[in-house]
Amino acid sequence: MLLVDAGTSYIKILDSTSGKFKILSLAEFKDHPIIKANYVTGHNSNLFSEAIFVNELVALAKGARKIIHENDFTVLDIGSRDMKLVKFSEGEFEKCDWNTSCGAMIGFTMELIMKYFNKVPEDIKDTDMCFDITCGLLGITKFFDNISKTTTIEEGLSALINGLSKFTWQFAGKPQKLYLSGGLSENKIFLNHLQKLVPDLKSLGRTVLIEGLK
Amino acid sequence: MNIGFVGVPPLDLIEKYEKAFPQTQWFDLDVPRNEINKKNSMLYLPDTTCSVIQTVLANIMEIKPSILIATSGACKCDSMRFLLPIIKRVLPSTEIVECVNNDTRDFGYPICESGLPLIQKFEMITENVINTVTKWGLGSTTKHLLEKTKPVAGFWGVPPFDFSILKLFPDNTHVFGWTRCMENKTPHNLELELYVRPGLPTIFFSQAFCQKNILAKELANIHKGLYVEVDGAMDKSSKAKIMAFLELKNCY
Repeated sequence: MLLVDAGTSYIKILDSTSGKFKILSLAEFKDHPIIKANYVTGHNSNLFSEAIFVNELVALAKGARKIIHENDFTVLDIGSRDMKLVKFSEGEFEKCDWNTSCGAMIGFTMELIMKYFNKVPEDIKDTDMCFDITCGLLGITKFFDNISKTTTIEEGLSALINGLSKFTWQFAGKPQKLYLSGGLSENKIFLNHLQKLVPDLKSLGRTVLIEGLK
Repeated sequence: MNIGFVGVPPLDLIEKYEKAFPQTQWFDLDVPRNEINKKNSMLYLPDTTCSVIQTVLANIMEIKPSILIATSGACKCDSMRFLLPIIKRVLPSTEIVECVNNDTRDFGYPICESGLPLIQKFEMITENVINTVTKWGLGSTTKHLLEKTKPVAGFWGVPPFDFSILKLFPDNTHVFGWTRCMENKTPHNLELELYVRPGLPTIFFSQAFCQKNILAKELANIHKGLYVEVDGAMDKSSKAKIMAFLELKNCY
């Protein structure tokens, strides 16, 4: 059975029979599209028109429920375009949220700006500088405003990522403990910055939604 | 000759104008019309204006009511007070009747607590604003549809600009918030507006840029509901968020 999490920038595909898992960028996928799948979730689900669609938040909730063996937890999925939040209390689903307009484009912004300046995570200074931002795209504006003054590119990137981390933390309800899912849960520099705010931060990787499709 | 109204005008005022102009066509200016683009109002309004207020001004500019009954203040939202100078300048020949609705007589809210499809509930409530004839303004053929049901979900808020949001809900969704106040004909009743059924999975809806977002978010926090803010037409993510909440709360 082919299970697909068709995100905005990356397509995650699991063949549940063989256990084979692969991640393709949207550009790679468009070059060699596979349109047959059994279950699909995600922003680009319409690329798999014959598959059964599962709501992204439902997939996240069900996937997290399978992976996390606790009664009370919050899981946040951050991809390139949006953030999705699910909270369980006393073993029951309590709330969900999905931020797409303000707070959107966090992953995409980080990838874009690092590539533009040809930087790798090791280049980013660990500073306490922090832009007060609520959106990746607004963050770019502040970044360029600041580096036009005395802020270095590396400091600006640190302030940008700290700002994005802070907004993420606020969106999640300022928790002390948080499970992180999605592409950014594998981004060390983002995790380092977010961990300053969330002492108990646990990364679940990029397969939580797919787990929810099983 | 036509009469336009905004919000829920006091019943005595409606009766007065109905008697004075019995054959006159009335227009609810809060209601979007396919033939009128709300963006026509942007000549006068900033982008950060609630879609309902944009609709009101666009409707007024197009329909050009002879008489405008404009409720403002706590029974509606404060935006109407600030729209009036614009309307007076743009349509100097329109007679403006500015009013505040402090009616306290409770008419009840059987539509809100019925098992009718949610979109039908909202259509009936909004169509019934100026009905002063019968208790609920409903004929005997429709009254039997208003049996009180056990709710499976709740919708709190004002009538949305885009009614398609209402199609996402199961039929036994009860209505709370200002829409319930509308049906009860007490639009300034904050106590009623704040009420939701404890433990009922409820969506707290507000139009973007509306002051009622403050209430919606606070009530969602208190009642562990879902706060949803939509600007204009329903977007894909808001739709998915509502559907996920209702599915995960076993409302379908």
